[in-house]
Amino acid sequence: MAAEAPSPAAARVVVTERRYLSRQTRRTIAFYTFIAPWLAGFLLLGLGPMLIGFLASLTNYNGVNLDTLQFVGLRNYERIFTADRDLGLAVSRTILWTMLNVPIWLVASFILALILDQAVRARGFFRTVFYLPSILPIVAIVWAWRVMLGQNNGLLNGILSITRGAPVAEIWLGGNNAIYSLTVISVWAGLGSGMIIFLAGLQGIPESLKEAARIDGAGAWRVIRHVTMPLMTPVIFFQLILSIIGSLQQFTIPMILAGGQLGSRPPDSTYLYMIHVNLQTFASQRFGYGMALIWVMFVVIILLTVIVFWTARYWVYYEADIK
Amino acid sequence: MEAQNTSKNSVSRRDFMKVAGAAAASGLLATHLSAFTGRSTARAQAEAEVSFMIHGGELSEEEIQVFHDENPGITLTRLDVDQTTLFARMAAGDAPDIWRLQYPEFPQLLARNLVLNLQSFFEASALLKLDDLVEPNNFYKATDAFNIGEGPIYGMIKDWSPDMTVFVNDGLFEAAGVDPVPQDAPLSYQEYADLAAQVTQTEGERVNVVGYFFNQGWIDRYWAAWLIPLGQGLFSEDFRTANIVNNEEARAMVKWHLDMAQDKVAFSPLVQSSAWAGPDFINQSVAMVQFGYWFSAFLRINALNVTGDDLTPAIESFQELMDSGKIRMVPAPSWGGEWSSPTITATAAVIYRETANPDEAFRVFEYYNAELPAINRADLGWGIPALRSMFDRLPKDGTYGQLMWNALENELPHTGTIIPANPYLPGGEPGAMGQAFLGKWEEYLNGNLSFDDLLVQIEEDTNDIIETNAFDMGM
Amino acid sequence: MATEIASAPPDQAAAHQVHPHQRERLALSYVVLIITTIFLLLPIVWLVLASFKSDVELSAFPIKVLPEVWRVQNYIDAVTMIDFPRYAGNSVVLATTNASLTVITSALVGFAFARIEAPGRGRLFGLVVALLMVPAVVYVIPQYVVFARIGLVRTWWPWVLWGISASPFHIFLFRQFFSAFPKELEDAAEVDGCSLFRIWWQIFLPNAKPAMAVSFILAFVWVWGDWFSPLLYLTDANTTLAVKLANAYVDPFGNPLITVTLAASILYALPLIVMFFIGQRYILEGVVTTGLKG
Repeated sequence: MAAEAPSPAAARVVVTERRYLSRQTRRTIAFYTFIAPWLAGFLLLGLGPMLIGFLASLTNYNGVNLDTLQFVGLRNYERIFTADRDLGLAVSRTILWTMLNVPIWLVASFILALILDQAVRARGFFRTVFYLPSILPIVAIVWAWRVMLGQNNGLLNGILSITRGAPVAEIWLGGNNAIYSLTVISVWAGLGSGMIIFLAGLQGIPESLKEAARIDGAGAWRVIRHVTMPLMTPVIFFQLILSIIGSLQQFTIPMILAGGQLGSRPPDSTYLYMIHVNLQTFASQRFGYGMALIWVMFVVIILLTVIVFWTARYWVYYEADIK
Repeated sequence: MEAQNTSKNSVSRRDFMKVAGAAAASGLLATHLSAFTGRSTARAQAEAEVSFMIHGGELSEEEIQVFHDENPGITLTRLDVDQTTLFARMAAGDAPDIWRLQYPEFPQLLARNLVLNLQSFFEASALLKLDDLVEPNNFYKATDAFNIGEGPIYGMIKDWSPDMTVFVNDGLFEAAGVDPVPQDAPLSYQEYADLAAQVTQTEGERVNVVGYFFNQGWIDRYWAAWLIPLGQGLFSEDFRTANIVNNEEARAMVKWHLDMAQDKVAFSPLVQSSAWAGPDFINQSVAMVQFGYWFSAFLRINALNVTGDDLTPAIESFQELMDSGKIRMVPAPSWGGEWSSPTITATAAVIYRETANPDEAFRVFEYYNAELPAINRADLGWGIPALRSMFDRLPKDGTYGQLMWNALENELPHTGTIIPANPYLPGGEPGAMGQAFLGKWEEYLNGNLSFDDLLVQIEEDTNDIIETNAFDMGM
Repeated sequence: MATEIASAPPDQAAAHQVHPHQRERLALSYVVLIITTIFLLLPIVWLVLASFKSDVELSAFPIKVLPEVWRVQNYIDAVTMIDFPRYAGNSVVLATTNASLTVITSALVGFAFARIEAPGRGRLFGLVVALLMVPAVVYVIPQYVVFARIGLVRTWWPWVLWGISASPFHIFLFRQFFSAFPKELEDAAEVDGCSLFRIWWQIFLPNAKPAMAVSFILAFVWVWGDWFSPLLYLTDANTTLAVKLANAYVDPFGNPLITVTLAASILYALPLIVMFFIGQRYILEGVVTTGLKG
């Protein structure tokens, strides 16, 4: 399928003669017309800026040196692999964090969606409650948890102090605990948006299919396992990709959690890749280098996604393809 | 990669912008888009627009309104302060005409020719007189990026404080049976470490009263300031290398901060503040706070002036301490015996060198620094005025006000020092060296990094940034 | 049980016929729901309580659950320190405009990717997915430079253009959603001579209310919560509430007014709660596809 897209001029001519065109040509024209808004936007607002961003990663741009700007070839990329002391920490913490965050969030929001897809009472209430944390601004999310997990003024240590009968001053937001606290906070804040996407997907599953399975004697679990799950795989796939990408890019919550402002260095436990990028870019004033770090992450994300896509053929079910 | 930084490879700013422009101009959409903007361009030509990147708390909407009433023909637009957006705006040719900064940021901007020389504007001004400026304004006088302190003026501080004074809670000292800190002469940092240990109170795991607070964001500024009376600096003469590992005094300073953290007598990753040191001090969960004069205004508003329903028991007992003169500001501690109490922020404003409207921008600058906003700042006591003629406006009322004023008068003669900042380093809060320290001290405090390795890593990281920035800036 | 059957869509009600494990499963569901509700609500309740405290009380310990004095003043400060209605209005207009445009164009593009086979489709969809993975930081600043060069900064036009040019996330969402629609749905229509646009507009879109609701909510919440783009593109005069929330509640020295910020955060979230409560009803609506497969 290497046919080329028709040029706009050609398209206009053929549109007037559509009845003479083959079905496939008409569909091709329709396809390109439909995606035109996105494609135009991408070419004008996406591609150019991305190229500039990439070019910046090949320069010595540091934010203020437009007068001495020059290309430095792959110097910034070379630095990533040879001279960046904190990179190893950032990469390992990001991997651990992604491995914690993605499965917990994915499973929890799927289960919640399954439950709320049933005829339970007050569904609207539960859905709204579950979505609440997703609507809060980050600053409120962070403060809600700082007063939950604070060393001295936190609810958790307050409760522990009572149960143990002596003041407890565990550091939940720092030291080795920080990454687990971050996971809890992030899952807490993300459950709602995960849930509603699953819910939308679940609504698309024909009740008749589930009913048919039940008539065949399938229990609830078997219906989920053999009807709901396969039909939900496109949505699960979507969520999986999105949550991996989102996890790799996380930085605002740990950063603000660390010191209440952007630019604070979080504890080593939550020293994520994007935090490293941020500190390198601004605190160390290496804009070009920061861009290079981002492009490397971008390539890693692409590779990960390709892998996930490759596995998709074994577990993702598309109605339109199967037919 | 083969051709390293030859002049052939260098792209001018214009070339860089051409790429950006080309990306935008391609396609039909761009023509449509420019049609949408016709209106706003026309309006911009009728009036001179001056944009000022400054915090909302530092230039209120009312103050902007008053400016517009008094200065028809100039539109003053406020932009929120943010380093990313500042640099992005410069790259996009949309730089603010005036922006806020602190002293460590200045030399680099000067080296890059980004700030306007204001000498002739000051000489012609009826409102801002050079001989009315207090000494900390010298942070923005320079002959070049490496020689700060004298020469033509490029910026002006909005107000200032000797930032290393200490606010002490004598009530907590009494409770711990410790003699109060003397009011008239500075103690040494070592003495403060001992005092901090004595007034710290723990219960089980919990530190109920932590002895001391220092600002982690200013950690490298402290070291730079402490070294000056000793005739030393954190960097070599040419600012090309950091000087810590083989500098006995600098080593001791780093160690001092580490010990305070290790002993849990100051806030650190091991003992965390519940919000920030301000509320903690009123709650009496920290006994000594190293903040400037501006903090007296914070305490005035959040404790002394609190009445009615808001007067909770915690605030009431703090008020009693204030009324009985037990909340005091004492001289900045000394390192090496000398009483030296400079500002280590020198928050100021500068004007963009390529501003389209320099005269209008300076008009805004005058308004901000000599008229209503400056008067409002002085009356509140949020810092000391940058103009001598406004000193009388500082509050002196009541026991507390008198105490603060007297302490300030004692401190003022020791505040003239100008701290050189490194033109190769970005001047954040913390700066590059502070960032390196804060990135490693957790490891040290957990016992995973030795003191020597910590110092080596701070120095290497800092040198690395100096080196790349020097290269990036062709210096 | 009567009320709940009445409120549930017909297909759900039908499913409600007695099944041996039904009762047990529902009981377990309620246990999970209640535990989750506590986990999700506790920090929010704590946040609301904190919004009535002073900063001094917020950082006091040992902790007290209820505020010593209920400081309604925090809420008054939140709406008087800034021109709250104006900035909220800006947020509403920007978020509504951008979300509406995003939903429509993304649904159209998503439909094309899901249902119209054409040469190059696979590769272009690969591009969509690739774009999904581009961290915003890669292009945010250069894109700003482009907008500045064509004179659109300090205006709301970028939000319109972002909306019109759809979003990879939403395209992907609609593509996945439309992919699950039965093939018969369009085949029949196409035999009847419907254009693809009409098939999209009259058959797919009406059946895509759940996805549209989700898409709208997510796009709206994104614009509502995004503080960086307005910080970069707009000035104090026409910016959004998110920017003010991040910057405006400080004392004259720039120290945070924490509990006032928290009060403002709650006010800031209220319109979204209302919008979500309304929007989630559309997610509830069953889709016509259910009838076709059986």
